Amino acid sequence: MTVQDWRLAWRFAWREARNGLRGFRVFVACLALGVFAIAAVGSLSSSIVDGLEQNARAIMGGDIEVGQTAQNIPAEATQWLAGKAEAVSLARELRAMARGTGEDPQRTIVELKAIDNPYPLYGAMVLASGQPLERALEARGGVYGIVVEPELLTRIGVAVGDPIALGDGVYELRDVIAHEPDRVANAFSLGPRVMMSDAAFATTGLGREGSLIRFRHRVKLAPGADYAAFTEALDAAFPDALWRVRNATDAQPSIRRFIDRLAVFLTLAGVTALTVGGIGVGIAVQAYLSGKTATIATLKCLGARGSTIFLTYMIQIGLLATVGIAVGLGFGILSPFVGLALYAEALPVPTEAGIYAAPLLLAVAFGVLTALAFSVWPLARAREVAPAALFRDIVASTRRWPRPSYVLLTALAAAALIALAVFATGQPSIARWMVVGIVAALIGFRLTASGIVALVKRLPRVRRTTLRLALANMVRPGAPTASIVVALGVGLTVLVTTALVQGNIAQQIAGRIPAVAPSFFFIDIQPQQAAAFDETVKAAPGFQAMERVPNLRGRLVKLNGTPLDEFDVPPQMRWVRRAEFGATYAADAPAKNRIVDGAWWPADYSGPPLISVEDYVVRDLGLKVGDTMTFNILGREVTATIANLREIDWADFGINFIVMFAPGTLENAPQTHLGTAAFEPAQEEEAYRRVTTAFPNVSTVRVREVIETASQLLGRIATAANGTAAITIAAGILVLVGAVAAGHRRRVYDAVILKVLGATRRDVLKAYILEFLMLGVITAAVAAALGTLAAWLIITRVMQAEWLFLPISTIGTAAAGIAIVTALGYAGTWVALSQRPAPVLRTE
Amino acid sequence: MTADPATPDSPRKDLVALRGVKLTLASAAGPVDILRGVDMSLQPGEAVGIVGPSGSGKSTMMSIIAGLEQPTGGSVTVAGHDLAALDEDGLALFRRRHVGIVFQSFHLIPTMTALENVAVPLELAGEARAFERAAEALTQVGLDHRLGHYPAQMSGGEQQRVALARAFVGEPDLILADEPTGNLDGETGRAIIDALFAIRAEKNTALLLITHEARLASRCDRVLRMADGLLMADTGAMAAQ
Repeated sequence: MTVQDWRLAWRFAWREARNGLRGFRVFVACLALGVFAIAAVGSLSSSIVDGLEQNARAIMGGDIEVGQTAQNIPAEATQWLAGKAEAVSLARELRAMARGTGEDPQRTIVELKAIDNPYPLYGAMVLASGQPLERALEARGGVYGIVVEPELLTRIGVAVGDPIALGDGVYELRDVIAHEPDRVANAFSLGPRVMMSDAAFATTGLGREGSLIRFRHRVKLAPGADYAAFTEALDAAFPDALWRVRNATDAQPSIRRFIDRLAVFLTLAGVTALTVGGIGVGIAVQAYLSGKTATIATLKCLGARGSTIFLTYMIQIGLLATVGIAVGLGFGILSPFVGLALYAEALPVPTEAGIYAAPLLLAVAFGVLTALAFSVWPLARAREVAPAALFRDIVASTRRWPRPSYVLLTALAAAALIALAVFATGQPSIARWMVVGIVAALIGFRLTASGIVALVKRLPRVRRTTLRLALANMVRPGAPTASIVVALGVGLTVLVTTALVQGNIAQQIAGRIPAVAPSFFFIDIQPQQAAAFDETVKAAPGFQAMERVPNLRGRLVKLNGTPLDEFDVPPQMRWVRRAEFGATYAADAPAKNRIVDGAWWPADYSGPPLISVEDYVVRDLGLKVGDTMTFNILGREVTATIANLREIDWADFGINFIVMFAPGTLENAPQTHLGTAAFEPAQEEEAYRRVTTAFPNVSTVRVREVIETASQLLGRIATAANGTAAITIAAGILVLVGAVAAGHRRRVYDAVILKVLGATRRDVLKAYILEFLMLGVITAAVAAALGTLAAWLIITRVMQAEWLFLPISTIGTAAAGIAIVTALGYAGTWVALSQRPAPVLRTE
Repeated sequence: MTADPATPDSPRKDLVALRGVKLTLASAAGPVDILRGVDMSLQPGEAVGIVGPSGSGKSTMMSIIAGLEQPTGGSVTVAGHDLAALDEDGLALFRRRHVGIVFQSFHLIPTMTALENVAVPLELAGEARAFERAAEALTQVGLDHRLGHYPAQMSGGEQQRVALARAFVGEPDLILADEPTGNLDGETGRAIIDALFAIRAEKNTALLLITHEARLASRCDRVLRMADGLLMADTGAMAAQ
């Protein structure tokens, strides 16, 4: 292509464009919608991640956090930290039971946090009344103050000024927390926050050794201090430490990971919408160019080269694509500002609305590639228009394949689109499967469309005129059958998949889990309370079953005598380096676990330490029965031989331990017990009252509430998933509208001819509705099948859960799809039917 | 790449030479012979009329001469170029330099003004004075007051005069006119034919005119009759009648 070609093409393109580019609303809308979805998801997730990063020190509570559970860090370490830092602060966090002090008070589990004076090192603690935290927590007349999250007031029916009992003490509720800087969304927080001073905590009696207390030492460093150097120095000073050290650059990695993953799903949903929209782009370009065949033929007769013609129309399409992408980008840029202004309160993390270049560039790249992938083909076919046809006044585009160079260009654009989806989203393993799914759906529906056309062509002649018309409309040259089936089919498949996955998880939570889960979890039962506790639980009304086991915290430090740091731990097992294990000991094998290798020890075992470990942990670490694992349990190193491997079903909602010791090793270590109990549902409240009254120090978790919290969280994720499915459906509807509009002139002409021949509007309408109804039914049926398959794969393979087929969700979604196709088809053709014959015939 | 069609490699006397030209198209009902061996020649500056019933192959022969359709047999030489040797772009360049076409349905580009329509062949040829020359051409057909009008704003006669100006503006060696009056009333049609012959005479351009009207054909130097894919007679005598 020469400069001359480009110059001419620009001039010709401008002459056409100045007359208006009608019929491109769907084109612009399709691109804008997809680009918007990708830009909005990227901008929103960047705003959240940026908010996390900018507030990382406040979220973590310091530059460095040294955390340990069940046992505080040694005094020398505290001194070391104090000597190296600008300031240090210790927060103790644990679960406890809070109750009113009246007659038969209500009780609830709370997330208790005891803080010292320097708290918070970063960020600000805000109370509803505006008073300083220190004043709210001070002792007045021998009574310490506490501040609580508002949820507690409704849970146990108390108000500011009321006395609240926690453990052995009674405290005055002084204020309500408006903002706690380091309380980042703990999705599975079991109760409202209660905050007190460490002096007050000492009076609760909850700080016994071995209790599940998380000791968080926050360190404030000089501005610009090197986190890594500090951590190295700390490690060097205390090589055998059990604690976990985090710094503000990796604050909340789990939230970040969650947001990153959610963003990948939503971005790919946006890509799906854009791909569906691409079909609309293709239809619009095709329709526009088919109105231009006479012009193209004339230009060719006048000596225009094919490349000039291709460029002329590519420039026009390019300008329109720019408009579509710009519109989508504009709304995408606005989305974090609008979205966060409306919903910032509902988000558990701080956000920084802003303009983020990377996600916007990504959205533009997707938009450009989609426009290219779907418009080069019709553009290349346009250059093949046969000019000789002008001599016969039948100007029609030929069904010729484009030249190889354009086929290659289309293939390259499609490949780049796939590559971008897989690699630019940063999670290739997830993206790969989604892209495979999208491509499979596109191919599946294209084949379905071809199947429909081939089948209808083979049908024997139908007697009923309306049905014959409907069938003929589906297979005539240029019919939008393929576009409608593919575009709407992909959208419906996404909808069926999300509906089924959501329905399955909801069913698990609502039905299956409560059926097997106990009524309560009990945390921090003191060993000396154990016997009395068992008696109380068993005597409570409606008692069905209980389980109680000792619980110790430890970390894995050596494997076969090699320190973990020097051991070649496979990537999927890296977590063992950081994780604290819960460990227990037992004489008898747990009935619900299956021993898959080795043998359980005798009930009266006494001898060197033996352990029973979950099978996959041992296997993935490359160990076997007979090897040794060394744990640091509350400061003491214990080396034990692996005696047997157990298979654990974590979905049974009982108490399970990865590591179980044989008797004789841990009995004298500081420990508390964990318990579960099941009661008849009607008696649960009474059982709760009795146990919590008798053992105020034992934290009692209502499993039902945990399940409700999980459902709520799931509901929020489902809303996001539904939103993106809706965007894909919207793209599908746009394509349908575009397809109906593209065939409009043809339909008007057909309707007029039929009316001239004596058909009533009813007859013609019946034929049109029948056509769209048949398309809708076939598309919905295939979408239901593909969506069910995808959902089944997600539930059984990815989530490893039990599959429930939910026919109502499937049929409902499919029916909605049929309704959409028929209604839009009807709306589009009604206009055609209302045309009076004479004017149409005159212009034809 | 194509040899430059502007510099003929073997100069000949005939402007157009068709030798045994055949065109057979495949169809569902079997092959259809459109042209069954056509021989014809046209001298520079000569005007030839072609008459014959619908479907006899007149338009097909014309589009073969314009390089818009490839024959399935025989040879076509126009202005010294063997059209079979040219690829698509070569044929485009060939048309640009040697052929002007006038259609029954005018085929103006609806999004361009009269001036722009006439300028297109010159623009394609990279002519710097495209618009001045186009304006002159429109003045020659009496449309100097309609330069900025779009096809839809002009009558059929005016549109065909724009098409005439467009066909002649590049000063081609040959004008192909396919029923140029077919969509016009008698009076307007006559005016168009007068203009066509006047410009042709002035520029000494060869003309191949397809028409139904014997009276129109008779204004040509020769009249050929086409029937059933064959040129039946080279009735040079008709012009003399």
